Amino acid sequence: MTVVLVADDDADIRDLVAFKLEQAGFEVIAVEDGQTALEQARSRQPTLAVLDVSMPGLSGIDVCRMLRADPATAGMLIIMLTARVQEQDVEGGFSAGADDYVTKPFSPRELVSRIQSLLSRARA
Amino acid sequence: MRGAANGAAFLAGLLTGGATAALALGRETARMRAACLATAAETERSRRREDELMARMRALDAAKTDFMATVSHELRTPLTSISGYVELLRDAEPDELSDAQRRMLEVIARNARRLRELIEDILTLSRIESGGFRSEPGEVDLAQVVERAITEIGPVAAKASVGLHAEVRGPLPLRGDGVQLDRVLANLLGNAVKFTPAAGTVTVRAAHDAGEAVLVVADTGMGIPESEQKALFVRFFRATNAIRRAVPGTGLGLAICRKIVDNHGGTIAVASAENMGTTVTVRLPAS
Repeated sequence: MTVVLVADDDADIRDLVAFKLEQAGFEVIAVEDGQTALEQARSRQPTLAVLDVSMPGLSGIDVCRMLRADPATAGMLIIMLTARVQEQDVEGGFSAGADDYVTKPFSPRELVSRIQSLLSRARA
Repeated sequence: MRGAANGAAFLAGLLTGGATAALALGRETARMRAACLATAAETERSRRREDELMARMRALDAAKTDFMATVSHELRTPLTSISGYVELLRDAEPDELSDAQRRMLEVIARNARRLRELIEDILTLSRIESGGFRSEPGEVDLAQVVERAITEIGPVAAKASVGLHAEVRGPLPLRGDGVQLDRVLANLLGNAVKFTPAAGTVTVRAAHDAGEAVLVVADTGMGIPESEQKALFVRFFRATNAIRRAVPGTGLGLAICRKIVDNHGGTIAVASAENMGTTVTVRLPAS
């Protein structure tokens, strides 16, 4: 089973994403801050991480950059979730090394299809 | 400058005759020089006041944009939960929900969408108002902007059974912000299709005319009551017939269009007759 790490400090959104991903057949690790996300990413080695950009402490962008900098996690697929839509935020996410970017509010169905297309591209 | 003026005054003194007159003129010159210095100091002070005022205006503007971005961020988070959980519910098995419950969820979903559009439009308007051009204005071909918008709206028009006709005579080069002009076209074409019933038509024309790029979007839709036409560009204004027929909208689309067209030094005008249709004409200076 493909393991997906979900990091969002908003409990409702975290549960929403976790529920939808489990329904789609993924194993989900749900965490509420950047530091825990980083630790879980290193110890559990998920195939993909869904990271909220604005979390207290380490932001999603910080976590993304640190995962990319570490050879053990550099190849992890990363999708950023953000409530900001300004161009510079999107560019910030991509320059930190994210594979895709989803803005809030998003459709859970669409998030799943983005994850699936990233996974199939990675497998190809 | 001042030396030349003094010289001229001295010369003028000699010409009008007598050393007394020249001496008086010399005193007068000294007085004028002092007055000049005082004026220069005054000018400098007022220039500094102006600079300070400008800096404060800019800071206020930045604070406003920042505030709007924060508000929009704060609103998006709860909205994600509302629309996300509604989607989960609506994806439930057919026997899990009654028809009445499904209709209620449809209402929640529609209103969540409306809230989302409002947030986006308010943010856009606030950004355009404070920043003018966000990206560097560059060479834009309006013909390409129009073609892009027509491709985008095509499936929506087809779904609504609205005929879409285009007559674009490009290229139409102008100096502007491509992203903002995309927005103008999307809003105008979106409105035209939205307010036109099935079997109606939307016609888009773009051509050069007397140093201007002219865009015309004409529909055969419900039109705007004459008494309301002057309020069309007022933010949050919505025509009574649109509200009566429950056509969704934020009332910000045309306000955004006008602001962008203004920023490009152009004009936007609307001609409409109720139940006959609406024609919007945009004129932008060509480069």
